[in-house]
Amino acid sequence: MNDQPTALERFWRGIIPENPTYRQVLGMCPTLAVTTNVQGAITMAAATTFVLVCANIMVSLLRKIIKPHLRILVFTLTIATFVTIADYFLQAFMPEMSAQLGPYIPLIIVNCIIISRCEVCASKQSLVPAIADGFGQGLGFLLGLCSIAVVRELLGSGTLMGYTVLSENFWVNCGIMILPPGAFLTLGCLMAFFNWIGSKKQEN
Amino acid sequence: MSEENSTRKKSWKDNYLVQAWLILLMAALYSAVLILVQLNWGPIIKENQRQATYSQIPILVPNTDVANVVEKTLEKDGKKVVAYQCFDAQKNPTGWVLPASGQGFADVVDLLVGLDTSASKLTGLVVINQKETPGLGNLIKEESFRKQFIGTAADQDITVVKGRDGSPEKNEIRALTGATISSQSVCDIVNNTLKTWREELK
Repeated sequence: MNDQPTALERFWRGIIPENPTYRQVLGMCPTLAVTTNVQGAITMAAATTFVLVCANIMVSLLRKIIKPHLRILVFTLTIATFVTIADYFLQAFMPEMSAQLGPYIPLIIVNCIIISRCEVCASKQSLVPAIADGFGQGLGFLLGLCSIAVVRELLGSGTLMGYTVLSENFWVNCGIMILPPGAFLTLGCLMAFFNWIGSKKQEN
Repeated sequence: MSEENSTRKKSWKDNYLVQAWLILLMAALYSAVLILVQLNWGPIIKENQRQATYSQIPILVPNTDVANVVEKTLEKDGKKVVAYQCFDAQKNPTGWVLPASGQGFADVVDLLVGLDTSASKLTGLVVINQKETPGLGNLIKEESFRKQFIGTAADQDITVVKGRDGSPEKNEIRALTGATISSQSVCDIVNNTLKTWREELK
């Protein structure tokens, strides 16, 4: 197990070097769909982080008794359970947010970030690195979603977190930014920007 | 060697149910957890949905005191619906609220229709659930679209017109630009619901 990254490395890697959105390009469906405003993005990332950490904990604890050829079944079962809990929580205590995110909360079940973390990290490493990995990837996902949501909400609605930033007196809202094309445009531009920063760093 | 292989194949450990013991155990455990979640949060979710309906009633039927609303289950041709009979603070009847659902452009649209006491005119319309196109079809939930329904007659079909025409007095609704199907769907849902249930509101 010495060749596996430590807990701190796992945590850091999830945020920048292996960022789920900009480096691994995973979980694109929610990334494009729920980034019309910042609150939605934060709730989505929080729900995903909860599921990531819980699934990593369960898989890491059970990693020695999981039969390799049945592991995907165990992952899916675990993820589905925690997603259902997250969905019920939102419906019970944040009904408006639940209505806004609609089917994208149940769809966390098929989010490949989580199943890939179970496979890459939690099924090979002990509890502490697995938890650190869950939080790291979750924060990375939060960063990815929020960076897109800030641009889209600002340009599309002139608001941030629901507060008016760009007054209607001098700003015309670009409706396209809150429509699907706005998601692709923003993601493409931001990904190009982060890749450009990455290549600049490598040159130095 | 071949004998060893054949006995190996018959071992009870190879039975797929035995192989899957961990998954079966986890499924049972997770089910138990989810039952607990459902028992604890299920009533809160139900209450949230009820609250969402009740908070709209004063918008749909003016002068209604939410405390005096009576739920009535209507039945017709094997179909069931819960209508809300509305009263003001002095218990005088103010009208009815009728839930209406149907297919929209993208997914099912859930509406609440407000009617006057004799169920002859619409007094309001709100959208409870919709997944129409953001920026186009989802404008059905905006007041500027919904208020067109106020004053339309409930005993005849509401029709959709394009462009700048259309008035509630003539039972015409102006379609949303770029969302004719969503606009038409809302009218169809209202028309169908009224056809089915209007006579039952007594």
